[in-house]
Amino acid sequence: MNVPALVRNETIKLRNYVPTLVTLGIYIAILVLGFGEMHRRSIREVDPRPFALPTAWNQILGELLGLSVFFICVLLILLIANEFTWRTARQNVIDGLAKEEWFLGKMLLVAIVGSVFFLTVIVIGGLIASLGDDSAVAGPIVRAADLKVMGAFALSLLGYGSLALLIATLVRSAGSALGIFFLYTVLLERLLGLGLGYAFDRGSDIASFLPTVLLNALMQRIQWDPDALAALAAAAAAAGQPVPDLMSAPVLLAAAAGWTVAFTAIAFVVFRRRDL
Amino acid sequence: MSDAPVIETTGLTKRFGSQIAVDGISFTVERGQIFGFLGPNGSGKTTTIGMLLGIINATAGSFRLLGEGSLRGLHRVRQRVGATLETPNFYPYLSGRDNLRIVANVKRAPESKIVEVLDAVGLADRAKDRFRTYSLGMKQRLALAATMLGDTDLVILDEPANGLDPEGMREIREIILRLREQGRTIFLSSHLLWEVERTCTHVAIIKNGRIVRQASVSEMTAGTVTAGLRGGDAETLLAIVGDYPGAVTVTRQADLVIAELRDDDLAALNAFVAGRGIFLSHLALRQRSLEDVFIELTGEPPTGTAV
Repeated sequence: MNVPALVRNETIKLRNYVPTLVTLGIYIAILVLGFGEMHRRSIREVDPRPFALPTAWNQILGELLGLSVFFICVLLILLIANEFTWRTARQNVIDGLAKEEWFLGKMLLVAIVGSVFFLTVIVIGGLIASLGDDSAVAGPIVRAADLKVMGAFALSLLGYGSLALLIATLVRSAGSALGIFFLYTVLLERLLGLGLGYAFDRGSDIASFLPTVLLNALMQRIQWDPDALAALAAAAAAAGQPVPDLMSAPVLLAAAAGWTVAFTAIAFVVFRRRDL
Repeated sequence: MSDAPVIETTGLTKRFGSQIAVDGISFTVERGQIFGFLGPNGSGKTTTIGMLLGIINATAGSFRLLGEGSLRGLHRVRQRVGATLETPNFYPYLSGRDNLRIVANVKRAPESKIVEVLDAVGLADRAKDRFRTYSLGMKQRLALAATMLGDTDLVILDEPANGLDPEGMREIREIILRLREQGRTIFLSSHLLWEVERTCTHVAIIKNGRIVRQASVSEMTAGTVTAGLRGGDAETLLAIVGDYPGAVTVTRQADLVIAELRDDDLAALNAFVAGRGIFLSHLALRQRSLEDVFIELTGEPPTGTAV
């Protein structure tokens, strides 16, 4: 396997593709506006929480980071499904790539795209937060809990990326693959979760193992930060609501990794067996 | 360099459900040949090439490329094969140069080779333009440039002159001949029989997934004497020549009746036709063309026949 050549090729395709620049541009604009607003509210004391490192990681590794899943999956589906529309997957194999190498190239693409968006959040969020007043916060710039959230988020991105890879490889048409991806993540899996809840006594427990439910749970800070969990529990108790029931971390990680491997393996078997 | 055949298939078969696209075909391509692979639309040409290139899984049979038959060996030697299938397939948003850069990375060819092959096909000045802005002829030439990257021993081209004007076809033909001069073996699938006849050294004709004949072009077009006749109503003339005792086969192309004869006694043929009330405006011995052979063997004219 000539991995450096695969990386070079995926990079050439990625950096010259207009949708890459568009999605990354939109995402950067959202991040700058979002984190900029957090910074503004902090220095004007509209928000009592200081937007400065390390506490700003609570916000940086929050909602806006989750939004990157949408952009990453759209971009991956466009890049991978169009390889079939343009028949370049076929031509790559004709030119001498083994099918296994072609597929490895796509796995590397998932990692590259995920890394680009992930680092974009960290860099932009970190830069804007470094402008904040850090006199009220203490401790290392990155705390252990922040690293855990980052790691879990990376795994979640890989999971979503592998789902995009599977759908793009199965459907082989960008438009249809995008439609199916959104139909599944937005509607079908929720309906499935509701159906399981109605059908079985422990249906909601089973539903918590559905792919996107798991991958979304991975991204929740309370799963990895005891302080955040304690704060949430205190708030829930004050409001007379039950404390959220969390899945154990090893089970959550194993299940998310399981879905990621399963999606990738199915995509590979389907790709290898079908004619190009 | 090995003396093994460049391509050797044995009983190669492909089924799509209950339909047999390629039915146990066996043929051999030797080093240095320009091998024409001919057949009507849907006869199994592209499926056969697809199996050789590893993009279609064979249902049965086997093949060797450049002497290699194992899965690992085939993958290794495919880097010494340059090929295009049906249409040139490149990333439309990338420049010609970046598209070749991708191929060069796969074939482990040096960057300097890209400039060389772009120059060889006359695309050096359009190298930075996006593939989608290229004309069909330029796309075909870029595909040929891609086949020249790497240490290519075998070039497989599926309909390389498809949709090109005569000038474009001439350019492609010249590039193919240049590739052969450089010692490469060419496997060419085309329905432009007159192009194949001018370019190829050997030919196989496939029909309904089976090879119906394989020979050198000269062997293929040798044989009985052929005469072309024109005069009066073509249908009537066809029937009269069909009754001529010296005729072996008689076919018609527009108003021209073509007869394969047992001898070259055109005077006797002329007298026979005149005796039945038809006076010929044209009667000449003609070289038996690959197209004549193709029609005889497949029973159908090739699509896109030149006039």
